[in-house]
Amino acid sequence: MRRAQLQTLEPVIIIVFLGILFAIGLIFFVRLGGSDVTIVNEREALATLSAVTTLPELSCASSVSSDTYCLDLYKARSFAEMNRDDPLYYFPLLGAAEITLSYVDLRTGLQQDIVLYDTVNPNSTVIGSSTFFTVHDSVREERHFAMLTIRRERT
Amino acid sequence: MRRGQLESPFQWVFVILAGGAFLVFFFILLRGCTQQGEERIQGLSLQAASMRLQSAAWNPDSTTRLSIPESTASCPAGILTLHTDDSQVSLERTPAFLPPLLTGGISAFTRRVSLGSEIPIGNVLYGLDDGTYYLVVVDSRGGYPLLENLEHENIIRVRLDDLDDPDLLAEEVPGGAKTVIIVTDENPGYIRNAAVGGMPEDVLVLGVAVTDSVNFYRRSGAEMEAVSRLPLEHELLGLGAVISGEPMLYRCARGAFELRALRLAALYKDRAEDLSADISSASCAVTYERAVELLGTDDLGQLFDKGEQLASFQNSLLQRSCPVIA
Repeated sequence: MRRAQLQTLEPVIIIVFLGILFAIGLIFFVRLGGSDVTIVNEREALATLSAVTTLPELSCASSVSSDTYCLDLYKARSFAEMNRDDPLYYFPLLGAAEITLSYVDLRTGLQQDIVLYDTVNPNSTVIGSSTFFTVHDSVREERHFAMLTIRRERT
Repeated sequence: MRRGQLESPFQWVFVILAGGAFLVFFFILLRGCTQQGEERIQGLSLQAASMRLQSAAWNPDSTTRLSIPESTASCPAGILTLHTDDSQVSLERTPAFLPPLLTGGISAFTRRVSLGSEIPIGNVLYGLDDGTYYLVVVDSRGGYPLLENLEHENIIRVRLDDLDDPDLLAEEVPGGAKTVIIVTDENPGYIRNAAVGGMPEDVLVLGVAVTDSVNFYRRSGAEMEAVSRLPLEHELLGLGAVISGEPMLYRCARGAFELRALRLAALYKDRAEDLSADISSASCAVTYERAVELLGTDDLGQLFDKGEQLASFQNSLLQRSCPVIA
């Protein structure tokens, strides 16, 4: 193109360039704003996980394991039973959630599920997350591979 | 260069500067919105503050700093409640020891409570409010270490002799104080005889003496009059009484702690019963059965009384390679 033609197109090029910059800025703004809900949900899931792992009601004795991701099987069973009788006691800590401990019994090869806590409204939308854990059987001195699933009501 | 030749590069410089300014503007806007959002969530809402307090109360041995609207703490029907002029929130089942007047900022310290330092039975939270000051009476034997170990600027040591002089005592009270709590872990008489006539009239003056019981006092004119005397089960609860300053708020938080402690004791009892049934070792089973007897209580005082014994069972089980109680 000739220089004169380029010069006539310059204002157009400038506007296009500014428009691209504007679009980049808008994309950043929208992406970060739109991910707030996801970030809140992830934070809540992490907070719940952190709370569960530090509860003396569930954690392995320090003499057994200093590992944070270790739950005591006998405590878990008692905890689940207590929560069936009084499900709202831990609500300020755990919120509206269903927390299930699933492990594979090495002797039988069968999966066992323990619903530790359940205050989810059946009609609500839930989002879930799972984390690998160790479940310690104090009597048999066995550790089972386990998964802790937390299903939270979507905020 | 001719003018026409200069125009083209200047235009592009303009474009780059303008574009850069746009981007900077958007980043500043974004940051401002994010900060506003965070302030809305974390800052001044009573509901948000109460949720943070509740969350902090579950974390053992933690320190949290939070903002809270000016409010009062009370305990209607045994439930810890925070009130402002137009709203209230309850911190049900939260073992938080708070003073009666909250003025805008709280430093919250959580401590784990254990039986014999081996068996955890819950946490207690101490909320030191910015407008509440603690005058710790220091005599020849020292002050009140449990409170002073919290290391907060609102904890002020006063000499025993200063309590007799209303002017000296009043001088210790910082400006802006809403509540002053005079504290001792020695002689309740120190507080009963404190000369508080010189204290500003608009300052709430309370007193707590922690000995083998907890004694509460409140200013009445120029004197401190006894309000209540309550039993003391554990030194960490005694510290909670000092932080609260009032018997009703102390009972409220203590009640919430008792609920959790007894719940944990019931869980440990359940566990011990199951272990006793499933374990093959007879000597381990005997220890579990003895622990079950001790854990089968619905009284916090009795639980603490048996704490050392339970802790010794825990150690004994550990030494014999038996599964522990907690």
